[in-house]
Amino acid sequence: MPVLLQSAAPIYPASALAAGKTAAVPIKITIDAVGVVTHAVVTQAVGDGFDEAAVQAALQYVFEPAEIDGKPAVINVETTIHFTIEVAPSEGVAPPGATAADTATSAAASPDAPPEHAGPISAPISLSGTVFERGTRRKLAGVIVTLRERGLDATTNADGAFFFHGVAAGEYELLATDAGYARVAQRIAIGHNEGVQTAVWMRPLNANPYESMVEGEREALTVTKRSLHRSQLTTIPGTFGDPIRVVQSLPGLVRAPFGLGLLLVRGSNPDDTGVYIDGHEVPLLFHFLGGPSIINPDMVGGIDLYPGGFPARFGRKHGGVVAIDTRPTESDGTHGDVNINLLDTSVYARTKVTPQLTVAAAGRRSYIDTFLWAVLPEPAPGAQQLVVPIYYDWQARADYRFANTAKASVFAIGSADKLRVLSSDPDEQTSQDLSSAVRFFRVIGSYERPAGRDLRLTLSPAYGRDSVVFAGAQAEASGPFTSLDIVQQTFSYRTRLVGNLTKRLRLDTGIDLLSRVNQYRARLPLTDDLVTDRGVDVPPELVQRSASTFGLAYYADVALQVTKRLRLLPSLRLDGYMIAGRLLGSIDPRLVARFATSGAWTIKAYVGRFGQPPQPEALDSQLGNPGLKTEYAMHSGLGFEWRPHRLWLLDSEAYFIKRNNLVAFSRDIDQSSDGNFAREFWTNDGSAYAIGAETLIRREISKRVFGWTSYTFLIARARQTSSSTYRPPAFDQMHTLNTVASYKPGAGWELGLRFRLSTGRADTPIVDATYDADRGNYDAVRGPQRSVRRPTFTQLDLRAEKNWLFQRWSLAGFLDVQNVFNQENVESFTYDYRFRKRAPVTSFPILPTFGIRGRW
Amino acid sequence: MNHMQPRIAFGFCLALAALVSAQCGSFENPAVVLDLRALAITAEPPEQVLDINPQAPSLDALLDQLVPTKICALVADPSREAPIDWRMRVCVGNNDERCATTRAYIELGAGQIAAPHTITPAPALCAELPPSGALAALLFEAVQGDALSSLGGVELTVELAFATSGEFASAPQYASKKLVYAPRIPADRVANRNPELTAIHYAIAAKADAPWSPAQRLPLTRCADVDATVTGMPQLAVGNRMRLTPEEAPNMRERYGIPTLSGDVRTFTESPTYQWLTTAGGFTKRSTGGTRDAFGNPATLFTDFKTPSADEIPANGLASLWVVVRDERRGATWYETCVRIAP
Repeated sequence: MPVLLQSAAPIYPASALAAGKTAAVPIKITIDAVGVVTHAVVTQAVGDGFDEAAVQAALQYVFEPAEIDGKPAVINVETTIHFTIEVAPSEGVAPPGATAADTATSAAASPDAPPEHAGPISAPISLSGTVFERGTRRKLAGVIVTLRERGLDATTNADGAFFFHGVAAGEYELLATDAGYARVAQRIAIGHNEGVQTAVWMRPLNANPYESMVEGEREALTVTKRSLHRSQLTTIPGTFGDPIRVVQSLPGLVRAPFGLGLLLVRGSNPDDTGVYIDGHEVPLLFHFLGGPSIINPDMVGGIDLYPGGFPARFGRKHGGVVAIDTRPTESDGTHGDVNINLLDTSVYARTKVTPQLTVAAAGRRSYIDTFLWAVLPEPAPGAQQLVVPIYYDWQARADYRFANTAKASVFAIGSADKLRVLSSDPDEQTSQDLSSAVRFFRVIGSYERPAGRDLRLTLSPAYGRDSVVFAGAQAEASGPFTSLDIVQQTFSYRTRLVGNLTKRLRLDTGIDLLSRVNQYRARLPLTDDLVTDRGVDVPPELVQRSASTFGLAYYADVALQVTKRLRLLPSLRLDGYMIAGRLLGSIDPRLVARFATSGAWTIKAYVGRFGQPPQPEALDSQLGNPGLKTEYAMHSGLGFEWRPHRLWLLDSEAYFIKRNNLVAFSRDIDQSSDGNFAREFWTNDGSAYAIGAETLIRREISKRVFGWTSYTFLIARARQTSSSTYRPPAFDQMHTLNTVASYKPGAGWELGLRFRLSTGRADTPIVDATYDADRGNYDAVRGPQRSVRRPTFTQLDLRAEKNWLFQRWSLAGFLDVQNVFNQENVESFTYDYRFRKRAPVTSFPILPTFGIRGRW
Repeated sequence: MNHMQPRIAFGFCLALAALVSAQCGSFENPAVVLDLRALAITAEPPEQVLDINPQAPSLDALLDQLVPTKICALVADPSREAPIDWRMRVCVGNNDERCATTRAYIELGAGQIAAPHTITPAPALCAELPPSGALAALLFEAVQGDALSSLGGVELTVELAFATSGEFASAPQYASKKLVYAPRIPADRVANRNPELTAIHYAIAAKADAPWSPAQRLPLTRCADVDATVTGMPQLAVGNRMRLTPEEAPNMRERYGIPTLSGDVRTFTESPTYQWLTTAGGFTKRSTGGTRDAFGNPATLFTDFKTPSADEIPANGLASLWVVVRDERRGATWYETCVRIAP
């Protein structure tokens, strides 16, 4: 809630005053970016002239501007203006010294007094207190506290404090009201010559403890951005409370098979979509086997999905962008939560160290390994088997606010997925020890300060290390027989200058630097130089390769308000690379236009180029092709947004994307002039296109309901070489429908559903088989490539959550049921050895998950 | 395309998903021959090494050096006593390992064999590929389509089509084998020979963890040929296990060289594989031998035959066993034997 800096006493309607009528008028006000109330509307009329008086008073309020992402923003707030009549003291309870009856009062004691003070400001404080939120102990600002018998109102300040001056001894009723909380009434006894201190605990009506109701465009430098607020992130059914998995239900993305966390954006490969945390790319999003994402939901502030036509500050990708903003640790005390479910337990805590310094930390660890043995098949007699999958992640963040409105933060994140499979069979005299691990960490710093005019400057370095290890050995062997060890060290640095240059011109510009070193250490049977390697017993040998990438980019996103209705957003990104010793570059201009035809309609269009460098290993002189060029895509689209009501949005867009120079695997062999041969491995011969349309119907967060329905129509085609035919790529799905809804009926309940429907993925039919007498098995005879479809996918997920609020903490229990109707969704087929019979490989059956979450 | 980590993580997930879903489906055991199937095709010789210039091969030199190749197939059908119609062609194979009728091929033969599982003596399904201009034309076509200009040799595909008599047009089955023709690179290259076993030994255990009986030599007798004169045939009871261990002929594992793209040669030793098949019961491993696995375990050659359950024992109490020995250079040989199983 924004802090009220200046209130105004409403004029008590004379007729109502004469009739002795009181009222509480619920009102909704719109506060602009400088804190001025621009619009006020009564949400439930009470009549008798109270409504008009309340609107007139509210229009004179001044607030401290609300900030979103550190920038002033327009917000809507609901509050209540009370009209009370100071009653004459009665015997026994009469506060001595009470003023005469029939005196109308209003929100503040006097025009000169701060709003948290009520009564004669020069008088001693008789009653003071602090208003807290139940369950979180958060101090609440903007709460109207009324001393009913005296008709005095105070509005709590940023620390939740209120003060009543000069109140005579006696017993009073203290009322606390706020639109988002249940009204509190408690009896207070004030003695002679003493100040009384009290605490008021308020129960949130519906919202989650940390939520606030936010509207408005966070960023104007893009054409299509789908944002998810924190409150939309953790209670979507079927996502295990995973914020990032919610992104997969937005338009522009098609369904990933087996619940895997792949981001399949507008027909692109998963690797073509970048995932950024606070502006810096991270290598992976999810733990293995479609597990949870690698970041604790409490650490996430918001997620933006750019399915196409994204701003120039994002680059080196030609698919889409998922930008995760971590949550500042600002805290009025120590808070945290513990989340325990069937797969893992996570812990989160944040605290204020000093008034300027706040910190937060989170961690999660799985315990699948403790019960996996129960579902694995029994090993053969005398044999041994050990399967240990483990995942864990951790995050920490510190924020420091300088006096000059500059601020700094450090965010660190780490994740690990480890799997060990150990088995032995003494009878066969064989044993297997397979160990693998995928780990990464990032440390991201940020320093932001005003840069003059309306500009803010952000300097952000980041360092990270990613590693992937596979090793296979006999049990108790001294070292691996085969192994693969990849280490990637990344240093990145971003400078960003953003703000309004003039009233019509906004600029977001900066430098994006990337330094990356990849080291590959493998112990593998190398057969790349053999003319044939069929069944050859090649002993593994140690191979070490490394590749370095240096990328330097300059970008500028400009928003130019050409007319009142037309906004043009030209962008330019210049990328230069030195990868594996080769110089590459990409010049990517982009243009977005937005035209507001009326208050509710906006037409938008864009076209742009998006470059993406090859992976460094693809340029390797021995195992790659040093002649590779930069991949690029041309995005173009046309769409509209219609907001018929502040709670409803219809966002629709049609697009065409052409991807060129795609790096594709090649089996070609070239002969040089000396007669020797060399494999090509990779070429730039791949290309792809996507034609699609997306529609989002969204109900914004309100007290009880939010949700959306998204529909994605996609025709994607790709080919490996310039002479081959365009075919549907592996994840192509023509129709994808997602409906997400959440409803809070009250009493701490939150109910949710998610329904998904998507076209089955393209498949290649198997029409016959040939027995390969040289290998002793059958080879499938396949029909036209990806010419048939797997069955349509449908799944309904439901979730029920119950919150119990205690004074200092809260407890929630949830039941999340995936695939409620136990639909057998076919993801793939397995075939018998002659390819005559097949059996479906289905996605998850009905999968109930139970968990509890404690929060304080 | 982009950074390797997500791609590897994706592969990692898929591998795990495959691990979890590996139990999907319930299909016939490939090691158990239930109905009409091709089990093996051999060529003699399996490879011809020719002293020709691969960059400019001479037709005369080619025809002078080519020798006839005899191709034989092992086909079984324990489900019925019916003759089998067959046809054999050779060509430059397509992706389906078959001979497209739109391209050149040589018809090697066609005919009918008596029911292979029950007829004595065993009917031969064989054909011969003699040297000819047509064969040379196929080899030139193969060389032209080889990016390595036949540096590692070229292969022709033998297509065997077969079916129960009367069903050839409606339900043909196909099997294929490659014939290898290679220039003499390196200069000491010697043509591959088909692998050969000295014997197959067996030992019997009463149950899975019981001790093994002393190993004995397995008589290589077809079930159709079993009579009172056959001695030493394994006698098994339900629940017994029989360990089958091949004994390789001396020098069966040939050393050979493979040219590299840069003009060098790397030398290897053959790693033959053993495919085990039966008409009833099963094996602990359907395939043995081969190269070391990814964990460094050397390949074991033996497998354990598991008897069928009492209600699955064939009516005559006999189960056919085959082992097909293959090297990685298209060499192959098969052996057939028989075991008696008592309920």
